[in-house]
Amino acid sequence: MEDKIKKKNKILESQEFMIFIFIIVVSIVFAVISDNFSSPSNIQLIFSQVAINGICTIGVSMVVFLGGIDLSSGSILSLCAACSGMIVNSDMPLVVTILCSVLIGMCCGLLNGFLVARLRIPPIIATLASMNIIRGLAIIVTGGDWITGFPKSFNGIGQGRVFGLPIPFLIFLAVTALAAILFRYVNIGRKIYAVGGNIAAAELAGLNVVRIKLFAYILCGATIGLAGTIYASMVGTISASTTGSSLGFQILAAALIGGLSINGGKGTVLGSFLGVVLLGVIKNGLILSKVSEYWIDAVTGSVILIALAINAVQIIRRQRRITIS
Amino acid sequence: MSKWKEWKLSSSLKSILLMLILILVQLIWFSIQSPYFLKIGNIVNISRQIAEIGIIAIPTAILIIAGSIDMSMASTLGFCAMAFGMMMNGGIPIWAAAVLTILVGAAIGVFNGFFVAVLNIPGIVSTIGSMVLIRGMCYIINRGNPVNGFSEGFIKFGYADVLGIPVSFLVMTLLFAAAAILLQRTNFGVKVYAIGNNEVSTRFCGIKTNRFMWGLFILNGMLIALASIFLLARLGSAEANLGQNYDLDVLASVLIGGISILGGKGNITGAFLGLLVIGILRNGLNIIGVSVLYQSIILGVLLILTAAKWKKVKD
Repeated sequence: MEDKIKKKNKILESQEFMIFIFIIVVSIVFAVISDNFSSPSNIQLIFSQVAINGICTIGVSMVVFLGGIDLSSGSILSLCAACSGMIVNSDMPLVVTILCSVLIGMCCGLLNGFLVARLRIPPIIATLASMNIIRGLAIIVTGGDWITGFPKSFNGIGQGRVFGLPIPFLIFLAVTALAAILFRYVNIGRKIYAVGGNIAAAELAGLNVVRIKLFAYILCGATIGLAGTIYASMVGTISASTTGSSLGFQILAAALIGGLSINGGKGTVLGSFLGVVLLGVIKNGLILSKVSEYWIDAVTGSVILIALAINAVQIIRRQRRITIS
Repeated sequence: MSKWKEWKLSSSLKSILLMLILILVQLIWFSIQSPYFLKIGNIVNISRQIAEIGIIAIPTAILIIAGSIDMSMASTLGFCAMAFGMMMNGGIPIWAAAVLTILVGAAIGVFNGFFVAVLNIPGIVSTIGSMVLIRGMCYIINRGNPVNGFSEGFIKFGYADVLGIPVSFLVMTLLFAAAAILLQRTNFGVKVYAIGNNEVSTRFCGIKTNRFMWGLFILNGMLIALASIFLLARLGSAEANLGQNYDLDVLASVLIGGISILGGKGNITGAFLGLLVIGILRNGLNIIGVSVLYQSIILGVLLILTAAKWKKVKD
């Protein structure tokens, strides 16, 4: 009986539950302000809007668990989306396209992982540099032109629905579930947490830190590669220079809101998922309540800072509690 | 002990020599590639272009030596320029608008410093949040429209010079000299290096590190605001996305100059030479017609090479 109460308290106190409540509160506010917000078509719209950001966020979360960061995700998305578009346009089957896109993503992840794990460049500087390099590559690959004119069957994936839910959102759910299983039950997932929690201890425990870091970055790249193909089929027109230009920061915002710590070793896949949904709801709601689009950046920034501040206050309080007791 | 000192001296000398060689190679290479490169007009041009980057590179270097960083510098630059232009268009005299702009920069510094000093969030993280927020503010204050149409006197100020040397470059050089003296010869400099090397032990020495870092962030905001004034005078117009690539240039200059991203190492002279390397590279690539795209790839690779260099020393 006591165990049950303890478990219940644990759920109620968890960050995920807080975000969940927050999502409901925000949704109610927007539903009152705007008539269109709670219409079924708008809810479907929110689902498809969060899908791409969501898949990328799950990918980057794997790196954040590790104590890293990936600012280059927007550039990787752009490169992968452009490449998938070009591959589809040369009449390749879908499976080949997805595989190629994932492979390209993995290469980008390998580059980031190499810089961070082998050369030991702080992840923020390394991915700032690779962000520019990969963006440049994307524009070189496309020659600066728009990639467009995909076959109908390809667009069908991104714009289609199954059971009333957009296919990209279903893929997002599947990726979230797979990642959650990976980080809860699979050996390598636990190892990534271990490295993020205390890298020195992980090393002393005999883990190959370099290899684990590389693995996380490659997996992150692969996930973004998958998102790239879906993005191409959803949007239908790709400009390499603008695709995903602010993605890196939106992802960071979602992950931080979801309770992930920038120092690694904290947070859950579910938290990232809810963080993405919350940001998506806020963005959609702001647009529907006729707030100017210029406010979106400012709101994203404020949400990042508020999430950081709450996190920091919690840490300071915990430290006080420890010193008192 | 003596061995360690010897190593340190030779290492910083080596990096300075390396940069001087880099600059020389660039000068020779670009002057072979283009007859316009070594003309007086182009050299004045380079000095004008690097002035703003240099003014931002000074506080960035100090912050990085102290173990922190401001990722929001490009957004702050854009916001201050927008604010300055709007104040001038609103009829405030130029000098008053300039003072107010520097106050705006200081306010941003207070804001950024709050997260670092009071909430103990690493600067590299919290300033990413403020980077997005401040960029959003750039769009909000003028509803996404560019600011332009300034008085002729102001535009002339942007191209003013003393004995042929642009004013902005002179100001930058003076600031570099002041920063070098501050860092190498005063109490202030000792504190900066101490915090960068070991913040906890510095705090146990009785130095209020948090308050000191807060001060550095305010100084940082003020100098970025100063740079924005020169930038606006040079460009004559400010868009909401102004200065978006400046952070890469500033960081590359500072890191190429031998300042360790991990804090506590490097000096201002290095940052100045790094700035020259980047400035000459940018200008030369522009003159021989390399697109901005390839330039950002080249800068990205340079950034990686210089950041990676510190691995051995740290081990």
